[in-house]
Amino acid sequence: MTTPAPDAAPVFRMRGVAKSYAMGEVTVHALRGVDFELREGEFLVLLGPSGSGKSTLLNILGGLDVPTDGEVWYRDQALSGADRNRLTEFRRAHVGFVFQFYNLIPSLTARENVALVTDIAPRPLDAAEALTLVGLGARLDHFPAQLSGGEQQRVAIARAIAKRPDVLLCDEPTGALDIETGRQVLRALRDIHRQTGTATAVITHNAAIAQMAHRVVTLADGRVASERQNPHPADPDELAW
Amino acid sequence: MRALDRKVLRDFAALKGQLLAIATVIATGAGLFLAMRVCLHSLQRAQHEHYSSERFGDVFAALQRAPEHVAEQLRAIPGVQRVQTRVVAGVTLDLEGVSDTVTGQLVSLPDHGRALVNAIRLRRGRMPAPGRTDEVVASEAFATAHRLRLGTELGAVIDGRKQRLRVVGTALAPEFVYALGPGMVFPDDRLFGVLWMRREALGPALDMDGAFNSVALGIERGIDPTAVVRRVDAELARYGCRGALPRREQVSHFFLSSELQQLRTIGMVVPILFLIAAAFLLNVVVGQIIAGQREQIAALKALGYRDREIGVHFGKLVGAVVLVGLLGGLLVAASIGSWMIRLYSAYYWLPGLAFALDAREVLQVALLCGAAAALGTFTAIRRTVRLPPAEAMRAEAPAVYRRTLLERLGLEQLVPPAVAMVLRDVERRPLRRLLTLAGMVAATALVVASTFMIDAIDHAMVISFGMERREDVQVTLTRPRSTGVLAELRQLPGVLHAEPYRTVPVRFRNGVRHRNGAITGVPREATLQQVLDVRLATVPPPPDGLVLTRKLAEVLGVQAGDTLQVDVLEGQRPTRSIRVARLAETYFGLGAQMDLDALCRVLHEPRTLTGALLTVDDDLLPALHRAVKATPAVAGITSRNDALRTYRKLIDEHLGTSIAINIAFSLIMALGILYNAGRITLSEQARQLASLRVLGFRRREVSAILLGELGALTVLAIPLGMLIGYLMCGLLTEGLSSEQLRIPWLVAPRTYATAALTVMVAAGVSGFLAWRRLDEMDIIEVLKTRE
Repeated sequence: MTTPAPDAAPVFRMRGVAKSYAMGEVTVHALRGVDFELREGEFLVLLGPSGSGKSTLLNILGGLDVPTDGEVWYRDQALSGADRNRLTEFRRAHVGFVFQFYNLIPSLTARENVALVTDIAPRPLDAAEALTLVGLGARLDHFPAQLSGGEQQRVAIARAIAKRPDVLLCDEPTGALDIETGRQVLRALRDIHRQTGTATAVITHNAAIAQMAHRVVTLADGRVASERQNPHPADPDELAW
Repeated sequence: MRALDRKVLRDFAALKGQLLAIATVIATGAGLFLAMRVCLHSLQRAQHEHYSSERFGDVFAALQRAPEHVAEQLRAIPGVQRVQTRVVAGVTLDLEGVSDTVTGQLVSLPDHGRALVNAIRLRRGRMPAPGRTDEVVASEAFATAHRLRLGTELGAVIDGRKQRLRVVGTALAPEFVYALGPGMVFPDDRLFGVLWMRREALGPALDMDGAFNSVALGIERGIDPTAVVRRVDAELARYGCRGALPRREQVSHFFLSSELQQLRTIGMVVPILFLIAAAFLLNVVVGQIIAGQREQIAALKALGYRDREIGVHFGKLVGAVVLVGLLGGLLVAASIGSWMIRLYSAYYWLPGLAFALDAREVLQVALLCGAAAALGTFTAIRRTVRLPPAEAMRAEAPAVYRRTLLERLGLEQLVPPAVAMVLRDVERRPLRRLLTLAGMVAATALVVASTFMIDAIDHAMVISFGMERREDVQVTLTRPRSTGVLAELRQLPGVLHAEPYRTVPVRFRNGVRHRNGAITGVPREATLQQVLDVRLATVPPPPDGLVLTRKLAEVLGVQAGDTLQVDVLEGQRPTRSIRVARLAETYFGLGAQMDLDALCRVLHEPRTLTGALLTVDDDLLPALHRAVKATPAVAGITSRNDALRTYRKLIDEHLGTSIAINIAFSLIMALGILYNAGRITLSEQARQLASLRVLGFRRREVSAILLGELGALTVLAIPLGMLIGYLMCGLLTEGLSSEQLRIPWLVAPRTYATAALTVMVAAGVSGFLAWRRLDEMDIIEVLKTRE
């Protein structure tokens, strides 16, 4: 994997970010003051056990959520304090999302799920081309229910990259998959990253996956617990868990 | 096509059962609205066009005889624009092959040119030729009822003289759009017809040369007809005028305009009920769809779709339902509408009645449906659109439940956990159940309110033709006669018993309040005509004083014991003060009864009669009809059986069908609501119910939990719906009753039974459909799906 310069400009910057929300009758403190950066061209893994706040962090980065406290910057654009419409425009223009449960629209075929993005992006890839990139060129007209979990996740990746995003945010992309299928998905992510150089953040509770990152940030209990550089990212095929 | 639009189509296909149920309710509402509006406008257009092209009069007067030059005085009344004097006469007609006594009205046509007021529109044939005294134009209604061909000859008794008449044309006339013969409650075109004849032929036959006995006036726009009526009354008083009438009291116009008023009211209320139901269903179903698509919505937002785009997306789904509903509505409107037009055409003889959908009306109904749909779904869609994407991504927080009222009251041992599950759910979301209940109540009430009309009219008919009157036939005389004529009538073949009556046209006055009407003198010994009090009990006629119709007393503001001024509108036209002895209930007309001898005393004349009620030997009825046609003193004869038969025909052919349609529509409403309620409950509780199955509950037990709620709602809705229906009937009787026709407020048990049955059928069908789904439910699949 091409290693980005350590002094590459940050795409995202976070300072003292906190987030709490009500869940039924309980208040959950998901983040308790996080400082964090994602840099240009970087493949980053955010590691942490379930409940550590990593999904919340990703949602805030992607403009799906706003922090209760603290600052978030995308390049020179403040995301903290942005209103709903600005966040939407930000996502529309810059962010590609991949979710643990794929979040495909079940009533649309693979090609149509990707077309959801190509319909609204200014200079998108062709939907079929995006699907070919993730190795699904032959399954364009299948509905999600006709695809395996790994295939569905690769459709989700194709959907995320079809708009040529500036950042790719992946929330437990292999969380619902077995090892071999998980490797396929990770290979697809790595290939995309190699070809496009898009800054990519993958969150996972699976420490093995961290081996393929340039940099690993570990979250625990809503705070950054540790951070380390990985000068020799591993190939997905070498990973085992 | 954009991918998101494809999703609309696929979502529609996936939910087609529920969405089509809603579309059907919309189609019903839109179709009814459109059909009734189009009918209303078609009738109004035809009425307006007919009235203006045939110059329908504004004021009318019937009188005994006035020389032609009096017309000049009428023309001089301020505001009067045109005056048309005429000669009219009642006739009995003899048609080949018709044994019943057919009566008609002869109306003169001017010898030169068209009538200035109340002209006729020739439909077939030609006008009577100058100099021909035997040629007539027949009303199209009459000609149609008898399939009269041009050239057909009729026998007529005009003022006691027999004459042959030849039909040379057929016509429509604005004053006979709704043609009610003397003594008729419903029009019967077979037994009553209008014939137009040249004045030069009719005048001499009635000894009306250079004179007239009827006049119609056209007045200038903006002139108050009441003032003109007063002046006409004054001018014609000494010529035996029985009181001039403004247009609104003219019989044909009165019935037509009440019909239009009814159509306007019902055409607004009923469709709106359906659209409210549709709005409610959309609210519930779209709410359910959106709840089921939280994650998809979140994904769309994460992909960068704007709130507006997502709102529009669900708007399109709703729009598709509305569109399908509207298209269905057009079909409903086309079929119901043309049926309604045929129905109206059978009773209202207007030229150019046709059902034609008008783009503006279609647009109106589209806007109305759109508004209903928007109202129903706006908040649900907005709430979703506003949901922050990260929140949509998380599963909905577990709902907050608590123990139900029943359990808090300490009755938990009565409630097994499975039932508590349903009850707690009902308590947590009472609004949807309330709305479902309201929908079922509305459907029940709608059946009651649309069916009670038959009960009410039946009752009125039983009272009028079963209790007040018991004769076989009623004979009307051409003018008041001495009692000697009664002996003649008794001589007629088949007559078993004859009782005289005397009708006097009068104006009742109490201070400034007044009404034109008639007093009927009934002999004390009468058995064929009864006086009913306000509780509908038979009472002996008081020896003197008036028995006043309750409605007339109300209009005049008098009570039993008060004294009324009565202007007699015939003969010497005396004015008398008469005491109101008691009030009576009748459903037709504004009348008063009095002891015959007392009436004659008031009139200062010996006992006279204007007609008689007869009981007749059925076998000799044809002979009686033949004899009556040859009796010059008799103006007409009507049979109680004929009236009942006409009524039955009206009920069977028309009211019956319209009620069947209403019941069908109520069924659609109830089905639409219940089917959706069942589906939604099922989808909300699928996991819980599947869990129960896993725990070992039998299919039957799980179904009972699901269907129990539906059953409980139905049991609750039916009596409530009956009550609301009964109250709606009260409003309808108020709204539909007039001074001339009062509709009693009563609902028969069979109507309640029909309503209950309708809703029970709907509940049964929807219950069955929900049960089948539950039965086919794949327990493992349901449990696997993430909430």
